[in-house]
Amino acid sequence: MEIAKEIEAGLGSTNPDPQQSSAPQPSSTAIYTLDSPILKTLYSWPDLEPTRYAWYEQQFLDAPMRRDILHRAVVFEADASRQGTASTKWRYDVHGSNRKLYAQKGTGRARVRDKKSPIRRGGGVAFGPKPRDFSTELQRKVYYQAFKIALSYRHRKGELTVLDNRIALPEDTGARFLNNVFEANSWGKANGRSLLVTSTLESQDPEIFEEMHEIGEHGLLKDIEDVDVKDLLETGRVVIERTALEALLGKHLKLLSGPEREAERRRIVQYS
Amino acid sequence: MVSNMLVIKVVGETFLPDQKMRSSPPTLDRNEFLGYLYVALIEKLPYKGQNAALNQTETERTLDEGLAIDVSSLQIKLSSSGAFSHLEDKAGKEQGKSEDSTTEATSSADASKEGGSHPFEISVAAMEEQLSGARFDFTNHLTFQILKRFSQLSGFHIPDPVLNAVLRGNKTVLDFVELLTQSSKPKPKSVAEALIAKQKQALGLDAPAPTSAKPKKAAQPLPLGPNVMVLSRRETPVDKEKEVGRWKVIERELRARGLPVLGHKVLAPQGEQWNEALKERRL
Repeated sequence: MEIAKEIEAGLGSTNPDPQQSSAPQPSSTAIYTLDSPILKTLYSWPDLEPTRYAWYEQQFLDAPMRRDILHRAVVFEADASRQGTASTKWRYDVHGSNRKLYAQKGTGRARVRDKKSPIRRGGGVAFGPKPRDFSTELQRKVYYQAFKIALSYRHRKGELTVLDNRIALPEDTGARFLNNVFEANSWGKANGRSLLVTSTLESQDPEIFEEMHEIGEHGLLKDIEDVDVKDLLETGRVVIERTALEALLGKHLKLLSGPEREAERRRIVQYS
Repeated sequence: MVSNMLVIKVVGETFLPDQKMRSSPPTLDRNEFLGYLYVALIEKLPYKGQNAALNQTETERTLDEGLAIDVSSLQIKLSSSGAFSHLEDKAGKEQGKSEDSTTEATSSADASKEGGSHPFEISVAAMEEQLSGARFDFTNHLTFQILKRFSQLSGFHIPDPVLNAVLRGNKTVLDFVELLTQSSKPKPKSVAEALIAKQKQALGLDAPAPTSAKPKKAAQPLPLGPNVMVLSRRETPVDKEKEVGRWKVIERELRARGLPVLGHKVLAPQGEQWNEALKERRL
């Protein structure tokens, strides 16, 4: 009997719980919807007028912070960007005779070989640097994930501006125009510089890259081939074309093929 | 709330980069944001009422000079889910209290709306009342238009994190205004400023009214770790004595003995007189 009562009581105590927990959910609409896509405002270039909203899958633009991955990516890039051209002549590279300078014994001096010895003036460098490749390896999936993490971080900090159209110079304008845009939006040196990312390759339109280079103290313009994780983390904010953002977030698409790839590509962003 | 009435001036029509609103980041308070949002709503929401002048304008109306709109007669209507629906005449709403669907309500109240008040006045409480419980429906294009107009009026780009906080937390419009106000505050420039602000907040020095009946030494949150404080200047021996409450005694005793309290003055004579005496001696 007691057990039955307990069971009843237990049931009674458990029964209201789901009701209580389920009841407020529809009424109080305060459900934290983490699964909802990320809302981004798209702006027009060069007016920075809001044009529409875009919805990014949260996996792409709200990737959890992974400092370790960012660190690996930045180190990977830094290693790859080392020139590794330092070059010296070892004793065997130095031009000269291999003649023994003087006899091994009987002179009272220390024994020697040729005059190219590293301890002699004009001799070679002892194990000095030779050209080499410093680049390290990083799994592609990790490296591509680093782009998502960096962009997500910028988004969460409110430092990622997405442009709806291409970054371009109007007719008969140049660095001064870009400078005005930077000044009007407080993007310049006083506000930590800005990185502009375009999907127009530098080889296609070198002019705007040159003009941007002139106001290099205020920011820099990179195309999607050129931009790397360190660039995305460096400046005060990132201003990126929506096509370029799609390309950077979809770097991993290279690893897929066929309909799978198309489905994944469509998953990244929805434009309203 | 300091000022209960808010005067809203409608300025700014375009998004030109060289406008003054963009060159200097505006610092607006909550009520201003609320006011601009209200204006944006009035301008962009479709009007379903009897006022012919308003019906003509559809959603293209602006509360700029020339258009006579008596805002106080308008009421923002919400849909059942809390999203913004349309505008209505206040008079109509009051009449329709008994029966829900009275779009045929009287329009005679609108006759007195001549002579558009610009800038118009509306109390903050009235705006809050109309907006309470309202939520943005981000799937609706109207929301984009409202927020675009809002940022145009306020000269403030709505940061995407704020939008997402509202969207994902399912926050109300008033929460949105609150978030926006917080994010529009100027950020500390130096690390020291940031640390001091953080410390102030944690120690409750920022709080407007300290709540009574709080245990004084109860585990206070230490923002910078135990034993770490950021001070605005060098800590002197006097500060240390003050901290343990010994300074008053020391000061009294020093004075009683006729000794200098905070060090002695420079003993050598200062100023022009002394310099001149020196010069004379040199000559």
